[in-house]
Amino acid sequence: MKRHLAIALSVLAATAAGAFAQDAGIEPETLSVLERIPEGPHLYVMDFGMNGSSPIYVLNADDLSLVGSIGTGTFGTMMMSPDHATLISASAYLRRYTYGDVEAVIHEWDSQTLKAKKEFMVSPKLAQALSQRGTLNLSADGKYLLAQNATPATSVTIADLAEGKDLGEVPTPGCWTAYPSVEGTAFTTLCGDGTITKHTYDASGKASAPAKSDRIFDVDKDPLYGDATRVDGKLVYLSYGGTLYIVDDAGEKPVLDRTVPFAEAGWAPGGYNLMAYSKPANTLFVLMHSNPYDGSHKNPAEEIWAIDMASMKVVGRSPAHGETSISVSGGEKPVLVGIDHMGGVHRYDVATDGQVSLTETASREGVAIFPTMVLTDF
Amino acid sequence: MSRIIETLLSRLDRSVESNVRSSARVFGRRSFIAATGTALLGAAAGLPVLPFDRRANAAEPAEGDDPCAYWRHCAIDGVLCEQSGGSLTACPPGSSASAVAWVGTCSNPEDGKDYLVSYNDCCGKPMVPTATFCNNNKGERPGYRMGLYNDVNWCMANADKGYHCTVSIVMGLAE
Repeated sequence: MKRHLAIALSVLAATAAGAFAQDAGIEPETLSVLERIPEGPHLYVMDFGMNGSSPIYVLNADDLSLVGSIGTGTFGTMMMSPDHATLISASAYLRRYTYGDVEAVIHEWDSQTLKAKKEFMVSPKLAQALSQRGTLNLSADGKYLLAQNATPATSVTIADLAEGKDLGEVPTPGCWTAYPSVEGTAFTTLCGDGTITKHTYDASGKASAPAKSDRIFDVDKDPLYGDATRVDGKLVYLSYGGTLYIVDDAGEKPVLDRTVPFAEAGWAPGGYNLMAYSKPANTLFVLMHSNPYDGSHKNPAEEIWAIDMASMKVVGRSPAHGETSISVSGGEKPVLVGIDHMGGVHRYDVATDGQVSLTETASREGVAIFPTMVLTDF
Repeated sequence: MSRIIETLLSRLDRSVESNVRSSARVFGRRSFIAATGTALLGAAAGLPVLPFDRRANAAEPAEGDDPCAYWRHCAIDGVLCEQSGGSLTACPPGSSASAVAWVGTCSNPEDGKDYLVSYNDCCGKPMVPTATFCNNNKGERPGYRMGLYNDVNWCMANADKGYHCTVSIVMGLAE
């Protein structure tokens, strides 16, 4: 029956097309599918879906026009491979959309064709949390994927990316996020008792005894954000009050290298993925808001501050546009991009002549409903 | 550890919940949460809300006001169940209440006292896009203090894990 209907419709369509061609005197157009997004720099904006798919919108990084999209599952997060060729996402698929068994899926997307190159399942314990850099990362050699779990008991899934195989989980009770070590197979996680713990694992995904630091931060008085960034091999964490905690996790256990209080009175950091580090400029960018209070730590930015990571001084304060997450591109002329709490995207040129200043060169409203993360492929 | 987690994740009966509340009072909110190192169990599904000082409810949200500014929503991050077919303390019909929850400590302007508020997600139905989304974060912490973390789907321990909306349930005085 279906086959007969399909044939009938095809005949009807062909007849209709022929009639139009004859009437209008034009050649019928050809249906095609674009092979890839246009060459050039791009942004990838995660539109966090708590109610179904978390789409990733792909934008031209110069004029912020939309050039394509990717569809992941609910509560999605993502990361870009070091060579920018692959966007990796982790997300949950509920069998009946709002209920039913959960499949937690890792996708490897071709960042230019936007097609899935590979997908595989990991433990359904995968944290259904707001997209954040600390919950999905690649080991230094690119072989292992680290994914945060929460049931709400916390653990980290170790997956073999090449094999597309979940190797198992490392319990990380009372700890959150997993940043891979610069060398070897280990990761570092922030813990609720104010310590930072390093877990080393082997090729089978099995971890040895965790190495816990001394107490490094005060969770009650000046807690650290889960978001961190690597600077010169060390992990840089940020406190709600505006102090950098620079942690050396290269040794057996993490050690606090130094703290750098940088916020002036009346200002504090705010946002989600609220730090971005430019290596060529040796500059850390932080989203900042004024008149902080208990609970303002996710407030949208009024300014973006630039910290020189050699002198550890603030070397620039530029007007912001309500951003809650930022990224900075690589290259000698870094471009800073941000997503605001209303769903808009902003692009800034970075000038680094002694002082660091940002100039907004493009912005676009209404890109996403609930943007949580932005990445670049350049 | 796994046994502790299993215990915490099991649905609470009245006596367990009562113990949780008294422990929180004896040790104080912060030390209690630090000691558990994991999620504080909030109001359990199917149980009546425990009695609390009636003054905690004295300042009801006035019509026309920003519903997110209502004092008990001081650490809420989600869509209001009261606009999704439920109420301040009840999940909408046909949904299920989350078995675990995060907590906030909110000050009631009527009496100046701090109250422990359990933020339970309601689960198993779609989020209602016309309902107000609130994002308040008083006392909120990242996932290393899971019981204070609000950027995670608290339907995670339910059979039905789809996020629907959030209720704010006053559990008692904070101190």
